[in-house]
Amino acid sequence: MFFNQANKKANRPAAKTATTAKARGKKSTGARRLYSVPVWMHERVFAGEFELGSRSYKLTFAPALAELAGNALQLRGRLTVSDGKAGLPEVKDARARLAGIQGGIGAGPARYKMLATGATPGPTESPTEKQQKSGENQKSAGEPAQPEKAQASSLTITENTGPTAFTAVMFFHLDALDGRALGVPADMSHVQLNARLAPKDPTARSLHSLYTALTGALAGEQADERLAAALVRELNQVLAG
Amino acid sequence: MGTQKIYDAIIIGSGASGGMAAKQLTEHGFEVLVLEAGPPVNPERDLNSHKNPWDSMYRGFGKPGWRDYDQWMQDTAGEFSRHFYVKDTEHPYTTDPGKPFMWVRARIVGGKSLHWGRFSWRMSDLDFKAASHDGFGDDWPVSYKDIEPYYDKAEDFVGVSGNQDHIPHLPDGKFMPGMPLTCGEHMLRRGAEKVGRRGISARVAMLTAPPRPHMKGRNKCHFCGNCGDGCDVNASFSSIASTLPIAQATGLMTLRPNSVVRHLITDTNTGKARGVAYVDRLSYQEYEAFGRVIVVAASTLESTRILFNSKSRQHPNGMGNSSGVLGHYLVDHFGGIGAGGFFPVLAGRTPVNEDGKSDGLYIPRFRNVSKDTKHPRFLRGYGFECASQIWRYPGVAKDPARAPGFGSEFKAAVRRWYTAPVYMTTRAEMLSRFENHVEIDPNGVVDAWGIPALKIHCQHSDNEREMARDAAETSEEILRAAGAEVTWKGGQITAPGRIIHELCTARMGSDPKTSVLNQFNQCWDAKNVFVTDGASFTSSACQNPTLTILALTMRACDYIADERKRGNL
Repeated sequence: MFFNQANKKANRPAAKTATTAKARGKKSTGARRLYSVPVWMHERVFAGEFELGSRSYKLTFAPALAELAGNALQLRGRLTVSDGKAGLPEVKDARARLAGIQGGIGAGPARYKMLATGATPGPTESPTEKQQKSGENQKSAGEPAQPEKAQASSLTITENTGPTAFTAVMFFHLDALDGRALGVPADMSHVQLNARLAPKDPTARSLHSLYTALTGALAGEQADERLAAALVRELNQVLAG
Repeated sequence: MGTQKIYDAIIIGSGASGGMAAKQLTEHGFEVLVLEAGPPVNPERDLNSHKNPWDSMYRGFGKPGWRDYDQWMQDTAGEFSRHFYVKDTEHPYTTDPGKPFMWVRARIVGGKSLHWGRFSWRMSDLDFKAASHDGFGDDWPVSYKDIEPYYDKAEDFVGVSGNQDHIPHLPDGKFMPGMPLTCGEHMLRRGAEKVGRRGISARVAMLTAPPRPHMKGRNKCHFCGNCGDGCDVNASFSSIASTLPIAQATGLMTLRPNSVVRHLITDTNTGKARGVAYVDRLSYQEYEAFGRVIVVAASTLESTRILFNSKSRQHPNGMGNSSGVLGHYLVDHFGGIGAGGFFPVLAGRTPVNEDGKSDGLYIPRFRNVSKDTKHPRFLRGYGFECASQIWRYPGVAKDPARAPGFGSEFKAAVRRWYTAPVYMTTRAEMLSRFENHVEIDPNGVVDAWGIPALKIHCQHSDNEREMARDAAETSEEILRAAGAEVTWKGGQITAPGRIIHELCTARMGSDPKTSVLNQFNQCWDAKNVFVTDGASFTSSACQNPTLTILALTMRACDYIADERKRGNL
């Protein structure tokens, strides 16, 4: 049956050509390139696994310092890779620069309350409410004029926008790593950490709401550099334990 | 370098559109290579419509936390169907803070056709020529008359149940018998009629009569009601039940699973595509394949991503993007708005065997279909998907207000209300706006194979919000007219993507300056590239899109065959 690929023709790779990384002129270390590693947040640490061939490796990144590099969040801390044996070296000051986020859908974290002031940063109203209060409207040519201005409270909002929005994943780019030095037979020059924020412990929950507020302050509709700087200070307090 | 095999056509994707393209083109005598990003299907292992909750220690809900762990955006995945869906850990995409998009993806032979909702509605000229009706956006470059013969062919091939309802803006077709309504659905239909709305049996791509001769290996639906886990009797239409076996039987199809496409390869002399570069999902080995025609049918956003990633000297902004509209005009239908409750008159009655059919009552669009129905605050319209039936798990068992406590008291409450639930939910058109778009993530986020990922920008506008308000009010009105006790109403508009009807990002049009494709799904910028999935839509209407995708694919493939005969491809 075709879906079991009993057809030998179908099993055969299509015409293989000289299109390996080397043949294309890409940098080749002779090892497979490791593009991304999914990690999950446990307390303050991001931890995950990846496979190369038949071997499995554990990766942990323990940020100890947050800073703003340009307009991007950068985390610095210890990065370790383990293949189950002791003695693999570690990177003491690995740097991970935030490249993007994925907005979450479903139940998110509680809104972050600033340690310093107790205030709740970020949107307190839905985009619709904000828009209507400001008198803006997203009308395009051809849409009907609105003879009766809708009341903000009577219009339905989209799930997980406004005050219920949250960050589900943060994508970090690690500074180039030397796979060989880490004992990993892979090109680790451009590794992306896909940091999933699905906390199971109080510290991680607190960090989830903080990361949500911070990514909103950096790149959200209500981006706010001063707020972002204040949140980075608070993040450093939490990371310091 | 040795001689390269050149296929007549390479088809990217094996879902509804890709499977149909494989069938159509092989029947036209094309030798085709189908590249599917996901694994092959083992029906005995992977199709689980007859697997029962009690077969699992997790009772069908899955191991606690699995969704949070690696499939947080695959909303319709369940314990017995999660293998149909991608792992979000391997397939990133980005959004801006506060603007989420739920991108549900199936990477497996058969794609989303393995678990789709099966609603099969035709669009009409109210939809194809919507801009002419209300002035917003652009008309499609085709009319209903152009597509009608292919709707006929698609329905005849697929097997769609339904009735002749004589609704001009929801054209009738070639149907198998419609699924009967339940008692509660009859009550709801009468309630709708009291307030001037029609209610009809849902039209679904499931066999309600003995299979036609071409439907080898398929069977009449026996209403087990668990379609989303993969129909293992092939009563519902899917690529693996319908199109791919026919293509396979021609001996002209090579299907290669686990083939993740990086980009199309451009012929530097002509600017046309000469092949496809792809990576093996498991071995990470890189390959190229060559073809005279490339059919891109990887699903709306994946197809768009492939085109964006196909940059070359001739196509510096991506294949098909000379107009600059590639990736723009993204829409998804929205749901989440409606009402639900119970029919007290049906509570406590003796259960009868009317559960299990997959779909119930549909209330077609009634706003802005004529001058008399023009709504003052929004354009376009919505329909209601409605049901009064049980399926496998009675929702009331999770409603502590109606079924409190535990033990015998709880069981009695569940039994009392088991026969009486009713709900209505919208499927509504989202206006196709330039500002809702996707792009390659500007900061270099990639997937597990190093392929640049998408960044998705999509938000609802006041038009959708006004429509949602109207739908909430109308659904409650209909339920009350039907005699239901309303226990919930309103809701929130579903996040873009959640309805899994993302469309329009490589739109067809009449002008190469404002569209990506011509009326035959052919790329203006590379005439041997065809995009046949939902990306090709100009606007979405409010009807479920798959039947139209199938019809457009059949039409495009006939055109490809004709053009080859003419020597134009």
